[in-house]
Order: sequence, then structure tokens, then C-alpha cells
Amino acid sequence: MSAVPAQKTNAEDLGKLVLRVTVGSMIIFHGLAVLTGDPGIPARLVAWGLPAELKWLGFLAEFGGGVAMVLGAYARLGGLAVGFFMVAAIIMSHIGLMNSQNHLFMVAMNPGGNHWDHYFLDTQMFYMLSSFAVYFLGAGKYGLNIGGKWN
Amino acid sequence: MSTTTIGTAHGADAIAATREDIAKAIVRITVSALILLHTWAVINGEQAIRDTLMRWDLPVGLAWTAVIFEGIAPIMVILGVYARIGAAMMTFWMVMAFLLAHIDTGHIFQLAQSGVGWRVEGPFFFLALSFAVFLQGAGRFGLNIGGKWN
Repeated sequence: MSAVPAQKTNAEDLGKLVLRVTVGSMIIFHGLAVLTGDPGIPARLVAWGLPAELKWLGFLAEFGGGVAMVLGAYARLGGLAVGFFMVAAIIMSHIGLMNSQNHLFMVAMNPGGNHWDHYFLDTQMFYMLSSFAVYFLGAGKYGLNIGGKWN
Repeated sequence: MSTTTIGTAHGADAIAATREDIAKAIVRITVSALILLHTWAVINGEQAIRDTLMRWDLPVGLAWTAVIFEGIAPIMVILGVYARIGAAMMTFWMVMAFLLAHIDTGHIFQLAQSGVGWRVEGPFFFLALSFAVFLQGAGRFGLNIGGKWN
């Protein structure tokens, strides 16, 4: 009965899968870095006068949100968690507040260090905006399909 | 009563469709705007593509194809003009980037220099999101030129 061709929906669901598995799987690595003692998040929390233990909230957002997106289980919730985590990360680390550098209008050097190459915050923007996109798009049909409207 | 129910269902569908179109716009504008900045670097003398071509004994002039694959193509995607074709071109470009610059160098098996995250997460975002745009199309927030190829 649907007016939408099956081929179109298959491609769209495949697109959703590509997007959420990409952002989800890569943010999991950042979550694992918290687990293995990376000092980045705790240092920024302390700089803002917050308890370093709040890093576990970051772990929950990055690792838990990433897993949710990869599996297609509460994927929208995972996307929202990672998206807001990235908003917080950018505010706390990248806009010049509390002894951080303002990276908003900076470019980064290439690996050789001899020419500018890309937007300084491109990875952060990818994570933030892709995660919000997962929230808006949902998981599609290729996943565990757990979580009702939050998937 | 039934009229109200049908109207509500249509309203929910419209909201869901709008959310999907917002997401498509976010993804296609993000990936395209960020790759355009990289193209601007190449035009202004960034050597990485030229160095890679030389390493593979390929003509250095091929670096200027960047203007097409990561210059014109992302503009098509941003505008919503044959966006799927533009996204396919960007996907092809990033596949070539991985084949020529990131596989034999072992980058795909390395962590970032900071030790946090995958070394090629940036390039992989470009690749995967371009492919996602190819699969999903531009959505309705654009010029909507190109029919099924948009």
C-alpha cells in the first residue's frame, strides 16, 4: 500500500545504517580512551571546577551512545546523548573558555606540518552533527530495532 | 472522529518526513562544507595529494581533479543539485584517498597521534557520510534539481 518504492526505502535504511554505524563505532574508541585513563576529559572538567569523576558521564555518552547507535537499540537516544556530549565538549574545550584555545575559526595543519589542511574542529563537527542526524533519522530497519520511538 | 485520526496520522508522517529531511540536510551540508575547505587548501598549495601521486608514480597534474571531485561535487551536494551524483563522486574520491594514502601506509590500523580515536576517522567520516548521502539523497531542503539523482 505504501507509495514509497521498496528500493528507495532500502537505500534510505542502508544510508541510516552507514551513518549510525560510522559515528557509533568511532565514538566507542573515544569512550574506551576514558576507560583506559586518557586525561583529556578529566583535565577539562577540573579546569571548569567540576569533579573529574564526571568523566564517567562522558564515558556513558560516548561508549553507551556509540553502542546504541551501532546496534540499532535506542539509536535516537544514543545519537542525542553523543550530540549533546559533543556540544559540551566543544564549549568546554574549544571556544576559548577556562584556559582553552578558541578553535572555532582555526584550520589545522597537514600531517607533514607544512601547510594548513582542514578545519580544526572537523572531527568534532562530524561527531556532533552526525549524531544529531541519527537522532532525527532513527535507526532504520537494519538493526536490532529495540527502543520504539527512541530508535 | 475518523477524520481526526487520519489527520493526526498524516501530521505525524509529515513531522517524521520533516525530521528526516532536516537530518539529510545536516549530513550533506556538513560533509560537503568540510571537504570544500580541504579543497581550498589544495588550491592554495597544500601538497599531500601531489606527494601521494608522486609516491605512486602518477602524474602530479591529477591533483587538479580535486577541483572536480571535492570542489564541484560538494557544491552540487550542498545545493541539492544532482546531489546523489555529487555524493558518488565524493565517495569515489575518498575511496581513492584510502587506496593511495591510507592503506599501504598502515594508517587504517593506527590510533590518532593523540592516542585517542582512530587515525583516519576524519577521512572515514568523509567517505562514509558521502556514501550515506548517495544512498539517501538530498531531501527536500535544497534546489531539488536532478530527479532520482538528487
